[in-house]
Amino acid sequence: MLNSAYAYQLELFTDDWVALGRAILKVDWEPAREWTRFTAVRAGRLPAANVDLQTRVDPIWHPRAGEPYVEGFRVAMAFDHDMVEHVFGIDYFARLARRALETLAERQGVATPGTARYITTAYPAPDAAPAGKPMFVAREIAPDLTLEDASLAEIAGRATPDGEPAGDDVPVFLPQRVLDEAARLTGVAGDKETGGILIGHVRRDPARREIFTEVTAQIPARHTEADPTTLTFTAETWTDVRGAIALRGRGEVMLGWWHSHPVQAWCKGCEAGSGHVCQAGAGFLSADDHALHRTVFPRAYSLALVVTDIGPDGPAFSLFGWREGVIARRGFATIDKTPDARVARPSPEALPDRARQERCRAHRR
Amino acid sequence: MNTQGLLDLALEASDVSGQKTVSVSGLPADATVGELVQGLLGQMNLPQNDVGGNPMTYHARLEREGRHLHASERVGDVFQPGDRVVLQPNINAG
Repeated sequence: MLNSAYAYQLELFTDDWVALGRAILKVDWEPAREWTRFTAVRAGRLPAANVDLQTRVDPIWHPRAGEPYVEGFRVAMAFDHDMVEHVFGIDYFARLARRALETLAERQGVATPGTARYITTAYPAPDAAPAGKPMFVAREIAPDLTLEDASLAEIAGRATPDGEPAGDDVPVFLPQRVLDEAARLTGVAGDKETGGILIGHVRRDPARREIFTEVTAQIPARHTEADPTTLTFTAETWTDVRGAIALRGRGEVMLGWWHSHPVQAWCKGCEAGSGHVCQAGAGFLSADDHALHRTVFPRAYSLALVVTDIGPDGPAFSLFGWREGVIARRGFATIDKTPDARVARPSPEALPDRARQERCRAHRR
Repeated sequence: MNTQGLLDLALEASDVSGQKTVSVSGLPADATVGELVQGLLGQMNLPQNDVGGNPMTYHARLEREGRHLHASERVGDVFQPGDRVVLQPNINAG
């Protein structure tokens, strides 16, 4: 059960603080709730089996502007006679702000600004219509997840750090073999997207009191529908994957998913000059990808791997995961890494020109 | 099985990854599977619309029988004690 007694609103501005409009936010608090819970589990403050917790969300007012201006929000979860809480910044609303900006621009018949500023406000909403009485009661129970004890040092000794610096992220270990399989399947799929499910274990190092995830295999997604810009996972896909996990009988769980971006197909006939670095080659998650991750992989340890066929040197890999309740690019460590494996890196200094971006966007629609 | 119109049995439902599982109680025996799925989406905080705002399609798979239930089936007719259903969406990556 989650209680939030406030309604949140965005005020949107240009970079020069010219007002663009306002938008009421329909905030999805679930990722923040999950992040709060997982952070407490990781710190050893909450047993992993505690999932059905009374949760409250309250705004944190801006220290100078005061109410109703929001600097962030606090999620508090009660359990037994204790409480855990986590503070989030307004970055949590960034994707909602972007969507609101696009909606606003579309309504006004103008191009969506590349960047904008936003201010978040919150107002008491005591009169919000209570949800209708549910037809039945569904209480969350602990999922089939066992935190097996394992040595972080032992696995780290066999692995090579890749991608963005991990910071405070939960360590993730991916075998080179899995990356190779994803790369091969990406090549086989040619101009179409393809993908699969990452399975493995969530482990805890009792000595260091740290949680980490170890991917053990990828299961190719079958019964999908694919074209150059879309990959549809069907109900049959999930049945197939669950059957494969059961058949392996190793107690693995779905840790995440991967899919390919056939950038070479997207960029056929590209007129960008030599030396141009395509933004798509850096690896990214689209709006659909974000929605899929939120729907199917809501746990804080869940992963999304993007395989980008950026050129003749072979594909590059980008890993994303939850951080502070939002999906962000993150690092990982490759087990038994081969020397020529590549990791995609964003290149903001070499973004395509505006016309090129428009063309890429059009293609991806 | 049926007491005062409510399904008198334990039922578990999970999302497709198994990461989120709920125990269902107080389910009317004459409710349809479609109503069960819609209720579960709300109570499990699962998205009901895609990026474009269109309703998402979730199938309820009854593990014991290994089949997808039809939305019009009555829960009192299909479920047995200890049953588990998995909500499996058709969902796009881009």
